[in-house]
Amino acid sequence: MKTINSKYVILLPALLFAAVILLPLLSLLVTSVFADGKLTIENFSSIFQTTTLKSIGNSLIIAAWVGFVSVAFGYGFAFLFTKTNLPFKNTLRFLLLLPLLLPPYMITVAWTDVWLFAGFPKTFIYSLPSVVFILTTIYIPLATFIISGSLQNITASIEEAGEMMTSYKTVFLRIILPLIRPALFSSFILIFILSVSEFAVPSYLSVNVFTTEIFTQFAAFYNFSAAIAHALVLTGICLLLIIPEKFYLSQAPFISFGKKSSSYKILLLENKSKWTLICLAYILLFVLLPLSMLVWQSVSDNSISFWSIIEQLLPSLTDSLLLASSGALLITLLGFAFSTLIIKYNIKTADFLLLLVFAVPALVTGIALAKFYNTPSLNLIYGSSLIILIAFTARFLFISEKIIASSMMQIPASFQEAALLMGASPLYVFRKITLPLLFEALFTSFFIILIFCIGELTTVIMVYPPGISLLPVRIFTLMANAPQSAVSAMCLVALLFTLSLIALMMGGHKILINQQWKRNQS
Amino acid sequence: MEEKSIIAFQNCTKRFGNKTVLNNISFSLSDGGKFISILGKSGSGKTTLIRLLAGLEKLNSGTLFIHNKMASENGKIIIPPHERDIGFVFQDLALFPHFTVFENIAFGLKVKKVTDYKEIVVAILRQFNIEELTASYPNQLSGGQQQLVALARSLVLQPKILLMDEPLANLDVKLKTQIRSLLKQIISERNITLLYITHDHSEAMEMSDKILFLNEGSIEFLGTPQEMRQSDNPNVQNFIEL
Repeated sequence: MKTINSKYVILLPALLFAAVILLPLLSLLVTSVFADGKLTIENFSSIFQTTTLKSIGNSLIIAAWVGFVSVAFGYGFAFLFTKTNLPFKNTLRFLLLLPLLLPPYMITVAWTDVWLFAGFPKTFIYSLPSVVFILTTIYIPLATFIISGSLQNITASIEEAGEMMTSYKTVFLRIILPLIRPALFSSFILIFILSVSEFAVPSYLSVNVFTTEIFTQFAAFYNFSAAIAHALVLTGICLLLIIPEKFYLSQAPFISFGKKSSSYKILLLENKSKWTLICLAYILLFVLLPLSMLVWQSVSDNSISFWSIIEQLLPSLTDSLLLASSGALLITLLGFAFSTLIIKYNIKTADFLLLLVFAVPALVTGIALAKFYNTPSLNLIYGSSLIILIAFTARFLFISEKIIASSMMQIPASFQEAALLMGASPLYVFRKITLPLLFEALFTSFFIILIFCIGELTTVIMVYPPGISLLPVRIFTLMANAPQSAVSAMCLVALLFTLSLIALMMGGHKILINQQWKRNQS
Repeated sequence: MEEKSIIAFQNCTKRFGNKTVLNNISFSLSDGGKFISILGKSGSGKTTLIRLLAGLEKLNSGTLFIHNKMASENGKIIIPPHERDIGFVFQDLALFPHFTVFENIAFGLKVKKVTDYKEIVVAILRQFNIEELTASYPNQLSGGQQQLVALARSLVLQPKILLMDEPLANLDVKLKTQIRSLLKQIISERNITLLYITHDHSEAMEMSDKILFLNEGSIEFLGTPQEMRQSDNPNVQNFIEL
């Protein structure tokens, strides 16, 4: 009997990805350089208008500041949480991570509440520095997360070998800092790209940046050719940054050297309470204060009934949960397929393609999908929730693949080989060996992607079909006309909804770990 | 404490949480140029002992003297690791992955601002016959080459004491023999006291001038291989027979 090679089975999702996501992006590129059937760069001439150049400048200034400050703070937190015996560091780390898990528009509304309550002038609230400030509070946890991983990779003996020859200060400057340089660089680039493509925060604060300019051209002036040309310039900026970074990291001779180590050095803090208080003060001021203000603003206005807000948002909550769950499931399955291609079959091009798609700003992805699928022949996709699932996949498949692939890398090939040598079929090996070992990663991927899908605004606002009401889109469209307290109440509902999902994820994770522990014990 | 001792542990105890890893140990070593093997089962405190000596761990109680100077005492590091004149070859070798072989060996000399560091590194590369590896990164070397680089790096600062934590465990027999005889030659030429952790009692019997046997955090034996063979301590006998 002929059997189908598992490589070809796993290639199918990759081909599907290429067809439904890469094709629209490529078609956007082609559209931009053709006018009336002729090759032209005319569409790009509008880039050089003063307002457009100013918006590009604003975007770059915001991204650079957010990148620098986030990496500086992120490094400090990463060092404290990873390399020291700081008390309650797991709780503090979780609280610090919260802004990253919540949609940026929600954090923006929360900060606006704080500043309005404190009587800050509107010239400050609706300004470029406040965009920098909000995005920095969102991306500090991302930098912390990436740099922590890198610090954990440095084994204790590497530091101690240095300490045998010089002081810890020199070891830090000459050994630790160069070893985590790729992580510092990566987090800066990633944060820069995310900030330069951010739409919700500058849009809500009425700051003219490149993404809001593109959105206006596309959705308000229907000037598609200008919007597409601008979108491609924005994509070019992001790709220019991500490609050298990819090259730099793959060329670094030491990247493949260390596996994640469990024996990294922990330094004993001399003044534990001082550092705990500093972390706590940061979390109180920059994480919990804005979220508490959302609650306060929602309940302080008597004309707003919290229950009526819930009632109003209920269809959106249902639609969002349903679509985000389907999206998370689909993306996790695709993430598994791509991880297998990259790790097991060593097809590195797949990794690069996912990175490229991830680097395309959300707004550009939205425009590409809208332009490509908004045709009578593809209306089955564009007019249904399928377009939302495609948008989610384009945005988050890279993240899922990274979560699953890093776990897949830790499984020695000898596990599967030993099972195969004992006569197990590949399917049996997959069910009994690979899947249980990957279960935690698949679970984490599902929930992280679920939370990101629930909060995703920028892509879906460009493509959501009639009859489907997604929570972020609903809140965002109501923001323009509703009073601030109503907006806060809506964001509070969305916040409680997201926090419930996070709690569910953490509870599920704990049960999973306990079960695994019990299994190991027996 | 013996006069002119190189190393002296006095009533030293080390605990990790509730677990006592070394329990009130006292011993001293006064001869230079000796190969001293530290033997014991897993968890007997071998690695902790040399980490205390290196200054990488603090004592809970007791005093440690190195070259008659107080180095650690009751939870305090008096002399920091880099001022103890000690070389350390770690079990995983701990070569700096972002440095070439040359840079790894030169690191200690550069931070100590030795001006002719290049000549010193070239000389030691030549002595170890690894000159062709100068520009290689650690992940480009074989296991044996990595061992030689780690050894060269630990010796380049001319330490008086060399600590080795099972560094030859993963090498083949031929390479192990070569490196061991190189070690013997170097410690004798440079009058270095070598403390060498191993599980392998036959290796220890063959190579060592002295053997220190640890059992459950206590010193059960300190003496020559000949004395160890004749010891009537049941724990020592059990270990040798295993």
